[in-house]
Amino acid sequence: MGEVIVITSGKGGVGKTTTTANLGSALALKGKKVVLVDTDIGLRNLDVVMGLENRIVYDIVDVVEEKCKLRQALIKDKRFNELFLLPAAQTRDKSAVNEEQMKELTNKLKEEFDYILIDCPAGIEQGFKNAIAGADRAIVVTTAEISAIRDADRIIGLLEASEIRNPELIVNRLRPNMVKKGEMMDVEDIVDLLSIDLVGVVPDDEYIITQTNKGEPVISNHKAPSGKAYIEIARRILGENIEVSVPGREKGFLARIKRIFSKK
Amino acid sequence: MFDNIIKFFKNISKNEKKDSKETAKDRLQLVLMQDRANVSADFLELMKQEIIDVIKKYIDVDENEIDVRLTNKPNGDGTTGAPALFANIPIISIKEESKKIVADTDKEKQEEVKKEENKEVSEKNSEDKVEENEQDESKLEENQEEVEEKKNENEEEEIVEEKENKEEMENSEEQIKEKETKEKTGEQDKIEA
Repeated sequence: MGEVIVITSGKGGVGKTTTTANLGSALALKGKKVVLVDTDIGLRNLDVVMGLENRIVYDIVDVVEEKCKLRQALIKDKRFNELFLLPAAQTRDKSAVNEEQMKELTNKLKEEFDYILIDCPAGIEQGFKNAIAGADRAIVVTTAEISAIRDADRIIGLLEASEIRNPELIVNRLRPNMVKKGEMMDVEDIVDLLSIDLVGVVPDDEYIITQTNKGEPVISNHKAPSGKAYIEIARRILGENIEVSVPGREKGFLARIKRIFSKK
Repeated sequence: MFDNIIKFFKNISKNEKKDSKETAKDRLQLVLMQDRANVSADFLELMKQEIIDVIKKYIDVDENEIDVRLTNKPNGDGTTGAPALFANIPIISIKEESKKIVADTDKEKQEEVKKEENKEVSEKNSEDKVEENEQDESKLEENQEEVEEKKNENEEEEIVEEKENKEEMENSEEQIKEKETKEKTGEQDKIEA
């Protein structure tokens, strides 16, 4: 039986789609059978971030309305061993699917895949409700900005009300220079405010733009620091107990002691 | 108007001293608290009503003029500070009954001391009885039962009194806290004026 992980944030533009694409690819690289599900009906983007936009024939609404079989709508990514995409519809909107249908869909997918990553749309309306309907786990993505953190807090409240246990946090687009100058909140501040477990930190990275331009996940480029961060997060999801590396900070026991003494 | 110009220039230099991330943290703390409080409906209303009920036991207040809210406590230099609960509670008069409540607490404390002394005495008596009736076993057992009954009764009375005393202490602690917040708002008014 597979695990359904919903990647959500509340605020738009903080990196849900990028995270879904890269985490899914990283898990597939580790030999897992992964399907990415785009639930942002009407504003689909997971297909274009993955570079699979030219291969769409059927989408999630076709499956739910039984115009095609699930197998026909799944697009196999040829770059990775067992990575599939279920795209959203572009000419419909989020009322085209309801929570019951989503649960049915994710249950079917659980029988075939190890990991089902659901790219949640921004907001708290029907799109969000659909995305979390069949989820076992949730990852909340935020940046270090006030509006993103505030929306993430709201989302965490809604997730806990819907009984998704223990949502985990990814802090995205961190800028270590600004953090050092005291101009950007650092990871500890954010974790204190939101009070959920941290599963990873991804630095702000220009490679995201260039790789997305080409329709390639950023983990395929070994020079990209964000790629390394996503691979580390995938390892943690698979159960490895590694210390969360914060960009701009040295890892390890001695470095931590240094930091304790240099804190005001 | 001159004051405002001077304040403006002061604020420019002072705000730079405080990191923008500190300001962000303080603002976020307050905003998150307010969001969370509003989501759990009427949280603030319920809390406000309970605070008012406790205060009414001791002081007559003007309920319509009570103002309770969550806000940022401004620092001395004008920058945004940590979130705080503010309560502005105009007093009409201190109730006569509050003086009676203080007297009652004293009485109860005296009674408790007396009961402890009684317990010690009854324990001593039971020990004496045991020594006197060593040979008669049935009498011994009866006396031991009596001792146990007396001990249980005293313990129950003590537990009830401990609970009552705790409640009184909590009420007076809240009273002190309310006075402190009032003093602080009083000081603020003076600074602003």
